[in-house]
Amino acid sequence: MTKKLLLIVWLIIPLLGFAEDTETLERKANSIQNSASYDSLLWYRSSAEAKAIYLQIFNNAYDQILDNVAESGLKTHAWAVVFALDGTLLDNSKAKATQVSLRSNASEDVHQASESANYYSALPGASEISCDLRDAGARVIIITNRDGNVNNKNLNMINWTQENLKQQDICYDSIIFANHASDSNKNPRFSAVINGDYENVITTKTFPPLPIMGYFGSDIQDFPNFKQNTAHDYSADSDLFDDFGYRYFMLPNPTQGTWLNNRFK
Amino acid sequence: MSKISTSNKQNLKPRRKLLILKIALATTLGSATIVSGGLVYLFLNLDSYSKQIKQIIKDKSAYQLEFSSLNTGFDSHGLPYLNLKDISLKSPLQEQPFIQVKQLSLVLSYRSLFQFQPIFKSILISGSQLKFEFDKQDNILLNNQILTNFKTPSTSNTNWENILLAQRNITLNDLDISLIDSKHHMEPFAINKIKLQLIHGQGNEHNLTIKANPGNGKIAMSLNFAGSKLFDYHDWSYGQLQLYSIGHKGYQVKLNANVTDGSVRNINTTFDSNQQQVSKLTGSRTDAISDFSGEIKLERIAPHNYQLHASDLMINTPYGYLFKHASIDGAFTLDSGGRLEIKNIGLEGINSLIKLSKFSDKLKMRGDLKTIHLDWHGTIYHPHGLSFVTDFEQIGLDSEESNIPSFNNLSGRITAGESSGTVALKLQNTTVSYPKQLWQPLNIKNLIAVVNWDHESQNHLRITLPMLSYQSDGINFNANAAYIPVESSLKAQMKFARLDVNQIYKLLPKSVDKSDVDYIKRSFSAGSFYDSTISINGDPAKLPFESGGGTLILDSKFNHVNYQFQPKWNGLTNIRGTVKAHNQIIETNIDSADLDQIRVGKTSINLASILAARFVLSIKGSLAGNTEDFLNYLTSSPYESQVEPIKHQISLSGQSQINFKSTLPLDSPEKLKLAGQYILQGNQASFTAESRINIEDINGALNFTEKGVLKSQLTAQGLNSNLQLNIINGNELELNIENLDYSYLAETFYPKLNQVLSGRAATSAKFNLKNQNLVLSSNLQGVTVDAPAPIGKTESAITPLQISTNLNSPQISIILDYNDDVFAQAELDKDYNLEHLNLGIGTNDYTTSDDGIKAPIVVKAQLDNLHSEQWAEFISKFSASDENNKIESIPSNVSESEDITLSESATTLTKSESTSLLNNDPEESEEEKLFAESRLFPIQVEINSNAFWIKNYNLDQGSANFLIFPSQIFARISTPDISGDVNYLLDENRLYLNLQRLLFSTENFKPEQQNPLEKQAESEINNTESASISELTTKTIPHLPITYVNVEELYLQNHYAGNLTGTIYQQNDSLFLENMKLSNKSATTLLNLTSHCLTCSESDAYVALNIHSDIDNFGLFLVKLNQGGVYRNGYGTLDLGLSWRGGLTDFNPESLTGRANLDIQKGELLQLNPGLFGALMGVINLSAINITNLNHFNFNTLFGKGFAVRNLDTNLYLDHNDLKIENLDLHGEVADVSTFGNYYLDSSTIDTYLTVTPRLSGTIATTAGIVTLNPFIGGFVYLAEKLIGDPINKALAISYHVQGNVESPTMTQTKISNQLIKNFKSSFDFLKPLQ
Repeated sequence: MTKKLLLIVWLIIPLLGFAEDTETLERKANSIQNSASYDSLLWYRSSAEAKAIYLQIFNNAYDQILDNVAESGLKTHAWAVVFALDGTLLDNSKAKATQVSLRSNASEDVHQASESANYYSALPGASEISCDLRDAGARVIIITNRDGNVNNKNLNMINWTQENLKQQDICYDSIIFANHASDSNKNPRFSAVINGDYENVITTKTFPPLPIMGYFGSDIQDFPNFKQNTAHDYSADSDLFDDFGYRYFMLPNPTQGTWLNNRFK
Repeated sequence: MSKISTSNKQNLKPRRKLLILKIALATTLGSATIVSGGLVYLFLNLDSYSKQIKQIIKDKSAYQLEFSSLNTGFDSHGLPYLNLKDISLKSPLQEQPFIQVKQLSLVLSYRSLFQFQPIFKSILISGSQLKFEFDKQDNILLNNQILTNFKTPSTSNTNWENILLAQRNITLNDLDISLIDSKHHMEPFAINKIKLQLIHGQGNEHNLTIKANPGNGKIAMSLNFAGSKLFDYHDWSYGQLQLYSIGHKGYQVKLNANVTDGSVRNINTTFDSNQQQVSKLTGSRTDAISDFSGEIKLERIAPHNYQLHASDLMINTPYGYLFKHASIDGAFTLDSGGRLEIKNIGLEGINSLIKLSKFSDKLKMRGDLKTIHLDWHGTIYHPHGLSFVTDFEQIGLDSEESNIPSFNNLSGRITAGESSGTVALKLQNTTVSYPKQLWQPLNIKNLIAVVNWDHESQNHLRITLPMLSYQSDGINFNANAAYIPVESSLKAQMKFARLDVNQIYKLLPKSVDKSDVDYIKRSFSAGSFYDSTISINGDPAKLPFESGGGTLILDSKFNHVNYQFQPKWNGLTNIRGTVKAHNQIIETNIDSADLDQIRVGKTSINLASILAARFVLSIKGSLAGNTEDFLNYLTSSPYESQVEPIKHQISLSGQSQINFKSTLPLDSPEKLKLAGQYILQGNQASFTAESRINIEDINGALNFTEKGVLKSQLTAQGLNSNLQLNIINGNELELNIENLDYSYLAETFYPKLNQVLSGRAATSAKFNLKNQNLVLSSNLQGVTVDAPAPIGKTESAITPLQISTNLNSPQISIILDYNDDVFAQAELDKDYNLEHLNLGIGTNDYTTSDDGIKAPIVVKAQLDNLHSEQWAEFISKFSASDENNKIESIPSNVSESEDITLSESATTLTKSESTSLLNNDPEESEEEKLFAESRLFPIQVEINSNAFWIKNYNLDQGSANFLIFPSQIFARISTPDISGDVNYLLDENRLYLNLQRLLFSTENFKPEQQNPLEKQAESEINNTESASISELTTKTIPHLPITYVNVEELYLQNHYAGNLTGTIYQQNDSLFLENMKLSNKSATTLLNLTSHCLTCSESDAYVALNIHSDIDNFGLFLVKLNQGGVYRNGYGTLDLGLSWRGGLTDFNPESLTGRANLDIQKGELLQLNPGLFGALMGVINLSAINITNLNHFNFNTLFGKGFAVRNLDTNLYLDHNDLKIENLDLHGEVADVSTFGNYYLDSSTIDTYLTVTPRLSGTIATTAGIVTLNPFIGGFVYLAEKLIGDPINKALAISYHVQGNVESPTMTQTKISNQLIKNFKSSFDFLKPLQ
């Protein structure tokens, strides 16, 4: 008899605990669902459409770039493609997703999570496109707004980035970092690649002037001379968008970007 | 007489019975004689049969007879006697004996035998007490046993009176008699030790003697009469009564009366108490009578005709004389009337009589009845036709009896007949006190009244008051009245000659509530009623005839009445008008009155019912006067606290009128109900603190009740607009301005605002009096705000503006919401000085990123676009008005200029900006201004924008933070294109630009493609914005600060241009860029620029630019000029000089003149291709040349993939659109190339000569050279270049004439003569220095 009772108690206790956990999870889920970023994160991180669109863009871009190179008669390593990093090659939504999911538990340090040793994952097709283009003769240059000057006991931005890329099998020839946290205008760095002038540029490697045959980004400001604050008002049939699909390849990033500064219309 | 006969007939029956009784008695006596022997024995031993006697009496009468001894015997005359001692007769129902007698002695007379009735020779009764009482049931009781009843007397056949008078001698000795009259509340009367003896004389003569010793006196009465009835003198043939009452001080009463033949012949009596206590004679109840004396004589002067004379009657009481030497004279007959005249009755004595009654001693009368005349007809027993006349003087009554008023000094006459009479009253200096009915005693100076009554028929009494004249302090009226009780009909009229209002309360009865009386007493202080009449017609019991049954009409005028309706208010004075009453309704009409300085117009006051439990007045009226007087009046009212602050702030003038209705319960004035209109007619308002606001033509009506103002509407003219003030209710006001002239508003309060604000818009201000909340709102449709977005608006745009504040709090907080784009929270002190300001533009979040500083003024802007030049222009409009002051002389060099005290200029801009916004009091001293300003610093400004614009240059999204102190401004800007710090010292007018990064690219100019809506909005907002920034600067050029520039990372066209340092300053009206140094890996460039005479016209002003570059890497130098790939390495110098007319912004390639010299050593000219030329510093542009046309020159053979250069030397001159290439020599290892000629910029054509001289050591010489020139980088540099080989071997030189359109020039082989060169050189005259 005693054994039976102990058995019942033993069975019930976990169930009670489970009930509490279920309730907590539901509450947390509700909290997450109420987050403004929830839908976009859901789509970005969990949808089949997101995977498909990355692959679609990368595949089409690859073909288009090689056509352009062939047409220009550029030789191997005499041309470059430029990738933005976060949101283009690597999935940086993790920090935001963590932030949203932990909003119901503010005791955890969100920033610590974002700076943890956990690397970002490669986005679908990122590894393939970078490596394929490099194999096709391109200098794969990553231009990121990560601050290349960050180098402290917690984080060496350059090393951490390189290790992350290596881990995620991203192929590249150099990474050009921002000089400061607010140095988000990439045009001087595009210019550095084109003109071979790397004065005042933080890069892992320099090259002579190289024509850039393809730009990959997830923010309009990942492309030359675009500024979000004006470009968002351009007409869709503006000539300024003509290069998209030919030299410029935009990838989706519904969770982050300069577009967040725009006003809702 | 007929009644007497009837009485005799009635006596016949008992007489007959008496006869029978006599016979029976005689028979009995006879028989007794016969049996006397036996009886004698029995009689003599009668005591042995006591028991049997008692038993027989008990059986017969039910009374228990007791006696102590019974003796019988025969006296000396042989008459039997019977003595009984200690006799008591007791009823079995009573404990106390009915009668007790100490001794009873009977001596039987033998007359009994002859007269057949019990006749005793002697009856002695001694030692008994007889208490007679007349109770309320009309019973006569003897020793508490009912003997008989007056109303139902028991009939008896026995003639006891006859038996009594037949006795020979009756003696009552030691008898105590007391008389009690309970029915009439008479004082008990007792006389002890009375001795009474009734002796039968001869025939029917009798003598009755009574002696008594009351108190210390003696009374003796002797009555001798001859008749058969003791108590009926009419039966007497004669009679004489003598009465003596003797006290220890002498006789008290001496009376002698005689009766003859059954009628009184005379009565003479004198009485004198001899100051003995009457009460000792009559009992304690007569204590009130202390003394009396007098003489009364009644004399029969003829049968049935008497004359009465009483003289010197004196009755004194402790309260005074009732009679004082009074006299009574008169005559009467017993059967046909008479007359009496009584003189000198003192009413004080009546008080003693009153004391005998139940009123006890609550009443006290005084005064005299001078005469009383009394006449009557009929018998004296049943008089009729009574006539009564009395004169009285100075009668007074002090009453403590609530139902009886007290009064004094009443004189008059009463004339009363049997059916009619007259009372004539005169009161002089009389006080009537009637606490039960009157709140105040009436002080009557004079009152004369005549009251008549007339009993016309049975039950038909008519009372008339033909005249009543009343006069007291402030009250004077006459009245007359007629009253018929049976009909309950009263007709009365009163005419008031005068009734002072402040006396009214004294007349009010207690039926009027005390609070009402107090209110009337307190409220009415002066004035009087006059020409007043009161008419009453009806049943007085139904006064004031609320439900019919009569009419009560009052009609009166009044003037000079003062009415204080609220304790703390100045009351109404000098009220004139009329009052009318109809039954219970009272209507008062005020013709005029003064309310302080306010004139009260026609006003009616109605009292619906004076019968109401509470007096409630209905008032309807009007007031008129100066508005200022109205306000003055209110300041001395309970509303002082509300009105006083307003009065200090607002000055109102004009005429006002109040029409109002009110109901006022007098007992509780605080429950006043009030409704009315306060009508303003053409009033003006001005504000004490703000003289610039004048509101005129204020018209309208304020509806109000006792609770405050109701929904009302006023119209006015003010602020150059039509104003409409709506009062929603007592707490809410709304000022609606249909077309508020914002231009006027700006012009009035802050003229500079007029530069950006214009137009009219519907505006409303809502104010809640209770919580003092003020909300001002408008959609501003019709108003143009010439300001940057989001402040700016077009005329038609709807941009809701709401400003709210609470005026009640000591610290005033103002909250502003403008179109949900501009938010402000301002806190002001009690003097309306700004203490804190939070301003949000594009956001209502005032939290700045730097919370460490608690700035009094915090401005936070969250803007989609920030156009700096628009904001600069906007802010500049609020700068000091005298712009000329801003241009001040500055010493000729920078170091000196640093010492300049810049009291105005840009400092003024900022100061004046804040000053003018915060305080514009012209009277304020400079120190006060500075203090006021300094306490509001620092001003913290944080601007976040999705786009920072300098005109159409996009500095990208970012933030700018300002920390503004009175003497300096710190700023930090951070965008992707610019970041760094700015420090501006206002006093010194120094600006430190310390930028970490500055990125300049022509790509950042806003492209033409633009959102049409934004274009429209921008053009609408900036309808004058089409003027270039140059216009702005030329129009309003502030004195530019000395600017120290340090840009650590300068990017030009996305190329890193290096570190830039230098100084920019203004000297006089010229601008200098001095020692500008740009350093990078490729070169160190020094730049100096002068913009001469900023304020001059274009013809007088000019700009001169000199550049010197020490080039370390010419190839990289070109890369940074966006001409990469043209050249590799090389070093040398570049000198460039340019000038143009006008200012900096007047730069135009067509107006340029200048020179350029480039000298480069070493290096390698890279491959020649279209891109090469196009990239060559942006100047040489052969991109359009169809290179295929030059193939026959085999340039590629000549230059190959690179052209090693030993020296590149060129000198260029620019004369407006003509670029003169003096020489452009390229000395290489394989060839020298030189050229000269012109490039006409305006037509894009060239006319040059080119010579290529291959070196001997070189390959086959081929020459090609085409030069085209384009302008590059406005304002900086003009360069030209030509590939020219420095001829080593002249012989191999080949010359060409290159001319035509630069896109497709023609090259013709030619020879170049010296004359040609000379002619070309002569065209360099323009190089004369600029003036």
